[in-house]
Amino acid sequence: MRTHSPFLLTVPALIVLTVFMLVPLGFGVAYSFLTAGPYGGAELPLTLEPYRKILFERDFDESLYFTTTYISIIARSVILAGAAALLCAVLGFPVAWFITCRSPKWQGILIFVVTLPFWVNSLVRTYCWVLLLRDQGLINNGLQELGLTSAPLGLMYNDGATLLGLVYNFLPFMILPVYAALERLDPRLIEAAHDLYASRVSVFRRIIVPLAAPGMMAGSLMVFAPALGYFLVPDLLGGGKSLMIGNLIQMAFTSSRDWPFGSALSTVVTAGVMAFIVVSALRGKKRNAT
Amino acid sequence: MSPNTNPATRASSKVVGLQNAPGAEPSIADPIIQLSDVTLQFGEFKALQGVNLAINPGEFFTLLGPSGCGKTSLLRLIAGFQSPTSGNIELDGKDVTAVPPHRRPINTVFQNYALFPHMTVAQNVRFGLEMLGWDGGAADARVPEVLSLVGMNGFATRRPDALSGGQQQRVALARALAPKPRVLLLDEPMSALDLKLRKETQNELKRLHREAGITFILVTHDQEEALTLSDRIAVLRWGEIKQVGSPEEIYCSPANSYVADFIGEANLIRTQLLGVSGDGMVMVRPEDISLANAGESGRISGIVADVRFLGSGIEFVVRTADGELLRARSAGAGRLPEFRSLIGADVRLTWPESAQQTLGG
Amino acid sequence: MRHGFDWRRTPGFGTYTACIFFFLYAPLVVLVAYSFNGGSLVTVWGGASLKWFAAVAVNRDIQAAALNSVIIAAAATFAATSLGTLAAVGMERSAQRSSGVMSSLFALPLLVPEIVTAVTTLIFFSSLNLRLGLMNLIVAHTVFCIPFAMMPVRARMKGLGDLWENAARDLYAPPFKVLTRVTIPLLRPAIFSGAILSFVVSLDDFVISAMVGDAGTTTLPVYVYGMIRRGITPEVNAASTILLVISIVLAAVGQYLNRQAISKS
Repeated sequence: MRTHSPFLLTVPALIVLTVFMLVPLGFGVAYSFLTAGPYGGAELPLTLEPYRKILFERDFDESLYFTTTYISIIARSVILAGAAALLCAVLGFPVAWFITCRSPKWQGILIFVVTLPFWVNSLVRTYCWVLLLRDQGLINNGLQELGLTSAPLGLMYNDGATLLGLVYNFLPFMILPVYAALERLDPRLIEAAHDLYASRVSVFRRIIVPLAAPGMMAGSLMVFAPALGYFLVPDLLGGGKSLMIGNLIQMAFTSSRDWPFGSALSTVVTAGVMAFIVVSALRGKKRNAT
Repeated sequence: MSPNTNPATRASSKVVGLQNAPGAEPSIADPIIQLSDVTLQFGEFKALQGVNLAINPGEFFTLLGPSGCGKTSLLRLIAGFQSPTSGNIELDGKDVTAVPPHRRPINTVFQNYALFPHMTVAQNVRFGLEMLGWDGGAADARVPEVLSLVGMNGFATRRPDALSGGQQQRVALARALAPKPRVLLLDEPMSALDLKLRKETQNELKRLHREAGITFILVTHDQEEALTLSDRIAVLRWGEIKQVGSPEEIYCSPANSYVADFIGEANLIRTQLLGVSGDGMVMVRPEDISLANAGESGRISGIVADVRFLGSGIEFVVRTADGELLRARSAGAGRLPEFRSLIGADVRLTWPESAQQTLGG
Repeated sequence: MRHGFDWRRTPGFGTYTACIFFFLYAPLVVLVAYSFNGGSLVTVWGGASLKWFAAVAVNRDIQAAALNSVIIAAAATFAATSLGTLAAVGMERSAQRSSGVMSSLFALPLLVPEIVTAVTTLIFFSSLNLRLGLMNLIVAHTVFCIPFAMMPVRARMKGLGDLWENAARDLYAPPFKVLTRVTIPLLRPAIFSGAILSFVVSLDDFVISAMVGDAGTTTLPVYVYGMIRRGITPEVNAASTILLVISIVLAAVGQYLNRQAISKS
């Protein structure tokens, strides 16, 4: 009785998540094997066409030829999400370390300061950068006012702007787990290393960074996974020149009315994210085991 | 204060044996708690193995042992928080092995008291009564009754976090006694108190035990506490009961070298060294050993390795021929310099026949 | 004053951290500043004024969108908090064996990319022909709010241990009474904190609301997105600032409750 009744409490939530999350994901996979309907939606017959479309385009004589249109967008998504994770790690680590070294009271305050922007509406956060980066934005106006440039620099609508937006949105996701790992680190280890003649730099490289590695792995996961399919940042800051998978999926379901193709892309990106998570979880487990 | 005058209503009838049926009074000889062949296993780890134990109604029983010996597991089994891997537990002759804690007429004073932080003292004490379905008037009367029993009458409206450790402990006792349980379990209730408070609380527990007239089962690692309070003690080690007996029995005639060593201080001497036949151990308490007078032969000889000042007396450390270190205590702290000069000297040690206890293994 | 060696003082890290904080906050400050711009051009300062806030306040469409957002967030918060609290209690208290699979199912809304959740939910509703207006969005929001509602409750459950629940059981409380009289009251700050998280996350959502919703269910972020798409106006800045202030106030309240929950345990 004691082992069963607590489990029952999870049942309502499990049902809701199964029906409205797991089953729709299944619907998505199913749609990826269907043919596009004329006004959106999908219909029989079953086909692999949506997947083929990712790699090959059909010429007017129905012959297939390889195209990099979509592959390059997928590759850009992976590269930008990866670069965002890496940049967040590099930018966030010293912040996490600085916070760890404060008194407990200040740690609480600083962590709150780091997380607060995360609670601000993500649309608003991204829009702020539009205000800064666009041709009539604060940065371009400022530079021209100071006479440093004579024409707007074109800061928006490129991969750099997208990357900046991703880093801005996900930086707290890196700082928090790294801080959590550093906070658990026994200060006596650092003192022991200094005692054994290690300099600041060697302590950082040989003690602090290796022990914070699990936190960085967790942080990379928390940045990479959501960044891969992110929509708002590439949509507002990247524009048509810096599309990511998220935009492609959105377009498939709206303007181009090709639900099966959008479903195929969704399936691919979800499978990719899941594979990434499983691999890092396994690596984490291996690390713990040894 | 008889446990049978419970004004509980329908709800409490689900609680096994909380009210004894009239005329079915258990005889004094029958144990109130009986554990038969109880084993508790967590994966590979055996927390308890083959425990058999009978606890008599009304006695103050103590489970004594070092941390990790299984004493807390045993308490949790009796309370019902855990089910044994095998074996069974009887309460008043009824099998309660599968009965959940809320249907056992047993209450616990938890180690950290576990007072509900969102309730006042009175609400804490009332909680069990409400759960048993006592009617409001009876519960209203019972709360101040038990609070005054533990001397906490003025604190009914306080929250637990506004109480000192000692006060919290009294409230925990009141809360556990309020439903008039058949058995009160005390899980190291004094471990969080300072020394002075601990002594006071020991007296207090003794008094409460007398007044409540119910069975108390105490878990502790403090042998002095166990010896002072208990009617009987079970000494545990590695999930096994090593000895059950009165405090005198445990101290004066330990059943084995573990108990001898764990309770008080003991010299364990191999029988061959004493010229006695057999291959066993002899236990002698340090306070029973003295230096033999000149001309007296003594039971064993050795070299004084050290003389230590203990405050209340002096301790000699004597190395025997086979390298064993024996300790002997003597009063006369004032003669320290004289005794110090004995370091390195050959001495003979002696003790009365009655102080020597032959052990099994 | 000279300091001896102290490994806690790495030179330059303080300044660096200040720069990162500047990076995090400066864009938000710029937005807020612009929203008080009285001029009708976004980037040309026309004196401090509240006129664009007034314009937002009387905009019927914004009012309708805000009402939708609040209805959806409140309903989804209520549903997600109820479901999530029970699930968190159940998970923390049930045997370990199944919790790996369960944990991943509960984490699913966090792991699956938002856009995928959005389009698959759209597929699900449209292929079942479920067009229930706001109800569709409430359901979709409930799903992704559940993990956020659970998070603080699970953390608090871990912190509480089973001490008080055991004490209640010892005092004759049957399982249901243990839950209602002891577990839930002790969890209250965590439940509130989870509810606030859910509310913020629901208000924050754009992608799912945009994909799953229809003309009648426009939420505030969806409306603001439309405004941005149509052109950057001072009114957009004012509307965005309102969203920003709501989020920050809620986050601060949530943080305060969280601290209380931690300090009490």
